[in-house]
Amino acid sequence: MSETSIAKTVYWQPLHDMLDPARSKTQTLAGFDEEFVDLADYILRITHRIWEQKNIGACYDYYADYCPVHTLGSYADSVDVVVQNTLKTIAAFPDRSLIGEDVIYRKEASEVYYSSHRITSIMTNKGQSEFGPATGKTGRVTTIADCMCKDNKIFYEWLMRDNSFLIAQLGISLDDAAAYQAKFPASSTFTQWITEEYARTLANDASRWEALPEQDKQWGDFAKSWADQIFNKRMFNKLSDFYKPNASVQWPGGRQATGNAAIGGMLIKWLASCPDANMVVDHICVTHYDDNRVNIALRWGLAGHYNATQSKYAQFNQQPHYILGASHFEIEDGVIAKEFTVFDEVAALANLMRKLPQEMGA
Amino acid sequence: MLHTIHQLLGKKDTKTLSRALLHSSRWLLGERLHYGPIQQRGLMANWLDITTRYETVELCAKVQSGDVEAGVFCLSSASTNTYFIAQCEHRNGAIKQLLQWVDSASLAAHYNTKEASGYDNSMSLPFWPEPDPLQLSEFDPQLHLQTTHAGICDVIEGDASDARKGMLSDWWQIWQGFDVAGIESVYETIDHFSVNSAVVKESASPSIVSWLAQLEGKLHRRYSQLEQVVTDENSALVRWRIDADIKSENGLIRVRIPIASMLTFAQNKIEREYWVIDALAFEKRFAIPLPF
Repeated sequence: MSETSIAKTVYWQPLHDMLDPARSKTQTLAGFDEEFVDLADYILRITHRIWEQKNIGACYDYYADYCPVHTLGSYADSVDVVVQNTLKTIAAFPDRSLIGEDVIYRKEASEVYYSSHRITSIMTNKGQSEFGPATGKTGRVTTIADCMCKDNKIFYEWLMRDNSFLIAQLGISLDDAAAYQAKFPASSTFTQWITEEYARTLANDASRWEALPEQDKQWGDFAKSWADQIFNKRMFNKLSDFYKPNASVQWPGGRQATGNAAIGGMLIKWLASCPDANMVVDHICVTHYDDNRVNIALRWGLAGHYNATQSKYAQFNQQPHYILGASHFEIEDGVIAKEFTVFDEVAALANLMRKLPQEMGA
Repeated sequence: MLHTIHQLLGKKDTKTLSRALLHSSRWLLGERLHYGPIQQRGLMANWLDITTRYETVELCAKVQSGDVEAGVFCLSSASTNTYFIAQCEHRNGAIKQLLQWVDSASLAAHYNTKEASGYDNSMSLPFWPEPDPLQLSEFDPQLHLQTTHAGICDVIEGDASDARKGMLSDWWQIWQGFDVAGIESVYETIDHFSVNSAVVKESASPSIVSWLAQLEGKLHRRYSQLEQVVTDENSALVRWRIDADIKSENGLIRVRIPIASMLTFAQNKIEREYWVIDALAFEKRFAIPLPF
């Protein structure tokens, strides 16, 4: 089975096929358990085992002892902390389901596999959570988890979750959720990481990721051009170079736009909160869905200075501002038909409250 | 796969629909996406409750192209017809996506007449979903010559002749471009035109011209956006939306109105047309009623 048909299979497969895939093994997956037929299967099945079967201890099987996990609000690097955080999240949201929407991945050097996994979760808030006391309400949230995997284990992870969309359904305001998170002091490691990421992004210094295969280089150029033309040069008349006339875009907090006019309006409003922003694309993966469709995953950073678009946030004006984000594109006829962009607006506001990141040398 | 919906409503067959839904299937109702068996069983239960209050369920028109199938259904009782439109994305017996747009105002009015006396809130349904959170952004609604706006030919799926594309483009020009003069030629032979179950163009009803004038007059800075056009030889489903400002007691409010329009054709003329707008979802989302 080709990589192309695997992507389509993931889209259509029933749960019983996902847990016991009938497709034959097509990737060598050196160092991985023999049961996994490809990286998508590995990611989907271990996620199901850990989260839905509640085998939280399976993290010890599938995470390296030392595994940096970056989010916009925190940092952890030990499998013990991964286990503890998973346990706490399930206690707060005991019925949390993790529905795999897409796994976009590629093999890199030294038997490393990079996976970008987009997940929809339905979850009922029955316990104290990172947003405050239990609300008893059910919400839906999109997460993109970018993982580097080797020898059957995840050894590096970036986690982006659309928490502002979730809390809106839980009946919690963005201000309250961010203030609650800001009460917890940031670790020195997190402060250092976000400060360095901010400086690197502002300097337009993208992470040095491995070159894409020849057939996919055009999509790497496409993604970098998207960031450069739209976000860095603010050339909104170029939107039609990147989007179909009826492209649909899902952005955090319930921003939903279809068509170039609405997409342009949404992006202009968002960028007005950081008008000197610079975006860098830090990683790209490509999978082929069918002859006319490819799926692209990009992880990106955006840095600049905050500019309040609501007077209640004016106190944060000119503070350094950093966003860790990820986008999944479904490309048809060479342009974006659907886009799912995820970052954590709750953590971004909490960081402004905590005066993070800091200017280098400040 | 529309038969799974028909069987659910007509024969209370929850099993066939449950089997067709995947772990990752999504079901839109009331402008909220539902995932997973807990939410989806809840929807089925509510639909079964609804159908006990109607006598028949009829599939009035349908369209099929590739993996997409859509139909307009009519729930009928002695006093009421309530229309809804359902769209399935399916393959090999599995439904990936089920989208429903319901004339919820008609449904609520009929549902509540069957409730115990004293229950007079006719524009509410206790089980209608809370819509997903939505943040709207302002944008320039003008059709500038150098900017790109979706037209029928940009979004059409399925086999369509040039004549059909031309006729649908004329149709879109009426509703997007406020082409009042175009109404006569596009609608000259129409048998049925309903907006949220209310038949337009009957005696004592507003005309299509009046309906278009209402849209233009009550929706300020209106921008109409095509989302999807699915067509086959006999029918077309047009999914579109209007972003606009409407007047309220608190000033202008930016709103979005999703619309599903099903058109059937005879001799390359529109024979029947059904529009469905979910009034309850709109009111829950924007805390004001639809302005028409």
